[in-house]
Amino acid sequence: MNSGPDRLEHLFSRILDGECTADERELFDALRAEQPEVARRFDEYRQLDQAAGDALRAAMNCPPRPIPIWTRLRPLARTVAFAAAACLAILLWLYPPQRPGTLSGNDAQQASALAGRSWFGPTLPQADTVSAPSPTYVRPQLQVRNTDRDWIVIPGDGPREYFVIEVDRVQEHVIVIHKDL
Amino acid sequence: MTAMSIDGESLCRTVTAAQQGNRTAADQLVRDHEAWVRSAIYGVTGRPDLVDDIAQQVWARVWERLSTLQRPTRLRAWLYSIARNAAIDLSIAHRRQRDRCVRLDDRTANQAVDQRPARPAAMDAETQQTLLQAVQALPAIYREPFVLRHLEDWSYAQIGEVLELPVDTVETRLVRARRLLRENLAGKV
Repeated sequence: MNSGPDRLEHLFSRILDGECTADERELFDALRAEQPEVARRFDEYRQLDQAAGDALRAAMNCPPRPIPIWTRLRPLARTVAFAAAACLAILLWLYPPQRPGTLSGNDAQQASALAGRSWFGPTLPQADTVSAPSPTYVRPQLQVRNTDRDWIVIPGDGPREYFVIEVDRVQEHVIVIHKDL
Repeated sequence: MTAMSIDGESLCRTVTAAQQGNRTAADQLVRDHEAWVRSAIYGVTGRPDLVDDIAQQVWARVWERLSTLQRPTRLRAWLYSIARNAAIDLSIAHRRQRDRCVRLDDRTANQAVDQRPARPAAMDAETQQTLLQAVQALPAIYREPFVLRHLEDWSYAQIGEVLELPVDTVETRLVRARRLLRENLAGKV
């Protein structure tokens, strides 16, 4: 690749003035990456040109050359991105994401329990807390009142065992206390 | 920069109205073109202290001769030729006057320089002065596109339009201006 001094000077000048084509820009980037001497020479070229331009503007009381907003925001954006990355890293360290689908057995159950805590796992529904069932069946103590049934059958202590309870019928008596004329 | 953003039709209307004596149009012309005319004067003379005086003369000549401008689209090139001629005339006159004064005041000026206190903090101002002297030392044909490029941020085509040069020539002159600056400032900045 021909990178003679004269051609390089023209290329540098066109780059500085924003007059280069896409091919020239590609050539410049390649030369700069491959040859540190080219990069050093361009930096010198640019600094001198910028210093002369600034001196001219100061002499003519012109405002400084406007800097593109993306250039001005670049340091702020870099700081914000670094802070966001640090926060994300801390949160990932505190709450490591795990997927139940990639595990098996007890690991899957543990992962399922952890999935609710992970940012990336699905949100699981909240379940009620259920106490363990009692080993012995406690027969309910029934009180039957004000009913007209004569017999009530309830389950007994064991299988195929029932109790038959006889219920006294409640007698109702109606008294007329008022009569319309 | 401001002048180049005006489209051709608007420019023609403004120039025609100014030629017919419209005061508002004349004010508009000055507002749109004053900045780059000053830059052009500086490019020709290399002397920021002369720019104000020459700019006044330029606009006085413009109002005298505006009716002679046949093609309003060529206003910029026409303005530049007036500015260039005025700058050359006044800088030559100023140089002659300065030469006469320097002979008389030579001794006093040297004494004043010797009495200046040392200013270690003024390094930036000194660097700026060195850079300005290097720009001033450039031949005018190289300094003019260089100054317009930096002060007005014009493209090669825009500079070529005003200086009436092909784009390739503008580019070559800018490359040579930078080369000369680098050679003149080697080891100084």
